Formats: sequence, C-alpha cells, structure tokens
Amino acid sequence: MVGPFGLLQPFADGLKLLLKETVIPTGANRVVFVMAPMLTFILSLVAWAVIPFDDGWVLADINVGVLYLFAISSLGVYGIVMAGWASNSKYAFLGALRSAAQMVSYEVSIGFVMISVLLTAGTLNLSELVQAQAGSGFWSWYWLPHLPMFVIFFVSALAETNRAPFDLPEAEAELVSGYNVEYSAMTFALFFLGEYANMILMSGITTVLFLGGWLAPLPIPPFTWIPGIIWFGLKVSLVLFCFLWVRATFPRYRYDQLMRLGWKVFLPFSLLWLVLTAGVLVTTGWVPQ
Amino acid sequence: MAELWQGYIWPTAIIVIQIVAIVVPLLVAVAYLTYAERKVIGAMQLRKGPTWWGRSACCNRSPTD
Repeated sequence: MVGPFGLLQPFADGLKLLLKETVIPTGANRVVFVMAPMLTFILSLVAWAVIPFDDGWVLADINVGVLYLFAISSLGVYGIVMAGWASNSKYAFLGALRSAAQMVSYEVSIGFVMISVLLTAGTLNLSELVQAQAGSGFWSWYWLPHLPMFVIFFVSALAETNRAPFDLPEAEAELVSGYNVEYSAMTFALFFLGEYANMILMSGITTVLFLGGWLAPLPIPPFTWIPGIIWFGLKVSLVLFCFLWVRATFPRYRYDQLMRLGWKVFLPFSLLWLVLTAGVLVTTGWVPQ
Repeated sequence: MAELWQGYIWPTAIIVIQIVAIVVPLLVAVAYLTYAERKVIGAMQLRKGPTWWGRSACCNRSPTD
C-alpha cells in the first residue's frame, strides 16, 4: 500500500512515468512527435477557462463560451493526427486515422445538440446558460425537455474522448494501443492525462448544458445553503461515474458500426430535434431574449 | 509606478492565481480519477455467483431460480 489507504498511488505512478526513458523512434519526426501529446494536454486544460463553477466564478466570462468549447474540441483532432503521423508506424497511423474520423463524426452531432440547447437558452455565454436553467429546481434543467439530446450528447461525449464502447482506436487487443503505441514515458503520461482531463471536461460541459451547472436541485433553503461549486462537483462526479459505468458494462463497437451510429443515427436525429426545438420555440413564442 | 503596479501586474497576478486554482485541483482530480476508475470498475465486476443463496455452498442456486 502506497501511502495511507493507498492514496499516494497515482503520484507514485506519475513519478515512475516521469523517470522512465523517453523513447523517440528513429524514423519519427522529432518535433511533431513531442508536440502532439503537449498539444492534446494543453487543449484539455485550456478549455476549462470558460466553464462556470459557481455564480460568477468563471476565469473568462466570454459571450461565445459554447463556440470556444466547440473550437477547442475540434483542435483536439490535430493532436491525434500529429501523434499518428509522427510515430512513423503503421499501427499508430491507422489508429490515429480511425480515431480522428471518429472524433470528427461525433463532433457534428455534438454541435447540433449544443445548438438545440442554445436555442432554448438564448445565449452562448455559459454562465447565462446555467442561469437560464434556474427556476423550479431540477425539473427546469435542460435534461428534461431535451432528454433525447442529453442521451445523444452523453454518448457522443464518450465517442469524442475515445472512451468506453468507442475505444477501438486505442484498444490493446484490436490495434495494439493505436496512436500512442510508440509513446513511452512522459509523453504517454501526457496523452493519458489529456484523455482523462478531456473526460472531466466533457462531464463539466454536460453538467453546464444539461444538468444546471452550479444550481441546487431544489431552490429551497436547505439545498441553497450548500455552495454552488459543491453541486457542480457532485454533478460532474455523477456524469463521470456514468462514464466509468458504461466502460464496465458494454462491449466495444466495431469501427463501421461506430461510424454508422455517428452519421446515420445521431446526426439525423439531432438535426430533427433541432428543427423541432426551433419550431416549438417559435410557435409557442418562448423564444428567449 | 503605482499605476504600473495596479494597472498591469495586479490583474495579471489575479489571473495567474485563478488559473492555478483551476489547474491544480483539475490535475489532482485527473490523478485520482485513474485510481477511482479501477475501484469503480472493480466493484462492478464483483458479481455474486451461483453460491449466493445458501450460506453453505451446498445449494447450487442463484437468485434467478
């Protein structure tokens, strides 16, 4: 047991990875090879600048917060493609191509889901988006009116972060760990950390968009005494638990099934829901100002 | 000099402190998430076997019988 109750284990693992030798393959392009994990990790950290943890607790309260998040996740594909290309290895190349195609396909449906939520909220600013969900506790958070979109967003977030049933591009059995097969010590650690930070980021975005960010489940005194950041943390933990739960439960998607799901199932459905949302908002006159 | 301090350095320091306050808990969370994942998945895989019903493993029954 490392430390009390084994709590120092992750740091021992990190230290081990730091001290290992960083192997750069001979045919690999050194600059791009080292830049790729750095880019992935940096992007997963940078996106946290716009996520609101509590009322007014945002690092950068920009009015295009959702657009910023979408741009960051689109840049994430570059990190994968750079890693696969610079590794100068067939497995890495194939894994990177598959992973990049998967990420791009599911980003499209994430985009349409985000637009549906934006229409109901009327703002791209994430703090205002959370405040637009205030009202009667957790019945007014966006998971209820947009329930199919919540499910589609969650599944697309799984695909976006190469997690759980969609981890073919990095599975050890299928593709010898895909695009990060040539990465050894600190570079591998950066990819690994980047993937988990991306996972937490996607959970954070899910809670902000659908589960009411830092709002309490019921707007009555015992619940409002607890600071918003604790509610935010609890909700993010809940979504993360679902990420882990799905990983333990389902078998892996084959690549063509995965692409079929992204383009032929999620995309038409999210488009349909978007048009439906817009129609309902205009007919009932609930268009927010 | 005073406005240099208040106009530039202080806001920069505030932003740096905010960044550190976000990044450090995030990295700690990522580190413990890897550990928590193993625990959660492990707990989910601790399934009850067919000897669950009887306390002595004599009755070879499972909850579906």
